[in-house]
Amino acid sequence: MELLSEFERLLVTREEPTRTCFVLVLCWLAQCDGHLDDDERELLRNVTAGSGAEIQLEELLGIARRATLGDIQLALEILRESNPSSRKPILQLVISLALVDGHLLTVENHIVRLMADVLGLGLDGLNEAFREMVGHDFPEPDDPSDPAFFERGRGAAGGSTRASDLAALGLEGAPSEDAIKAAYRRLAKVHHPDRFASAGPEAVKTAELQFKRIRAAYERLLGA
Amino acid sequence: MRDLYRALGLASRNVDEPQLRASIERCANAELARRARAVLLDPARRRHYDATLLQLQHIARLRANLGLSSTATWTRTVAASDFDARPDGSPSRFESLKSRLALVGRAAQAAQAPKPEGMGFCGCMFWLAVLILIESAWDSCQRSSHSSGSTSSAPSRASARSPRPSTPQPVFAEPPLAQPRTGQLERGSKSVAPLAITTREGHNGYTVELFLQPHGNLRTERLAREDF
Repeated sequence: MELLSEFERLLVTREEPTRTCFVLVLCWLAQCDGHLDDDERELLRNVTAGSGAEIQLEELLGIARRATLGDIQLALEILRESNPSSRKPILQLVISLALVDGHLLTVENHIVRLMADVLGLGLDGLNEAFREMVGHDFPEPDDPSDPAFFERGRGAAGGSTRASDLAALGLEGAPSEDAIKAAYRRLAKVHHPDRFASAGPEAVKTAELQFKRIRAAYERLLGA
Repeated sequence: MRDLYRALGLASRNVDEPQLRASIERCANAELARRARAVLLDPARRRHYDATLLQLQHIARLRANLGLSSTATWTRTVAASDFDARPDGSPSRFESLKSRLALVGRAAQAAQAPKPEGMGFCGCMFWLAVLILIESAWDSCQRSSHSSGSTSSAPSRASARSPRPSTPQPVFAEPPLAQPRTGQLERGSKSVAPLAITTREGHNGYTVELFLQPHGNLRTERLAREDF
């Protein structure tokens, strides 16, 4: 019988247990579909780079893959006690990670919802945080128990580049050029790195990454 | 989202296709049967659905354990009757971790504290032997100094003993907890409370010993912190 699980062992030897818990939850979210995209890894690297305790991303990714539900629960319980003023930025980072590959899977949607509840923000707080980022309420999750989900082609892994680019701008379907420009202008204001200067270097880095992605998506959509 | 297996009355998703077909045929709910047929009888769709269902069952369990099963973010998106996981019944994981660390702290404190009642007959005999040896050594030292040096009158036995320490120096003063390899370790208390451990800037690391007593036999578990 081990006294401590692998994650608990890591937690008790780190100076920043809350941040370690946060990164573990992010790693769990990033890998919930069974693989880790380059964009997801880059965003995770930005989050861990600002840590004074030198959180080892690869170590936590491995632990997240092997983590028991008990480990995830422990991380969520500790995050529940986090500073109220940091809860919205934490949730927005979670949302950024869920959206970073351009699509929001059913499970990702539910993990974001779970995080909103864990952080005490609820559905209203989640919608508010999402509106600030994308301009509309947090979407309902897809329903794979409904055949219509597969008939829309949602069950296929990933998505088309155009769909991903539209998702990065918070759009779907066939929006007009004006709608794309308006979405870009709104998101460029929200994610401009200058807005995050007071939130610390990692927040600035994350905003820079998000800003670049939005700009790249915008240029591809208008150039296509 | 629905748990189609549960809605069909199946205990788990580990059922083969004939069992699944039979369950769908028996289903009185036409809409449910239509969904199950379209999703579960298509291997690719079923794989995707099963993977999502497993993750949602985990989330349902987490929500149950965290007391978050009835929030709008959850109940508006899943069929509550299909995902009504019960809490494990165990204390929270954080409380469990804290109690295990407290166990560690108590074990560490017990190991550090003097144990007069544990001395027993052998311990008493040991300390008696130590006292006799010290006294003999002291006397022979005094005799030797008198015979080789001063010709003055011999000091009284009491005055000769006066500079001697009243109690023997501790023999086993080594603390049972490992000390930092470099620098100093700051703890909130004498017990091990790793969640509160910090090191002073510029020091490279430390080791912490954790004690576990699973079956009456004290077992030591060593945590080594990497240098950073």
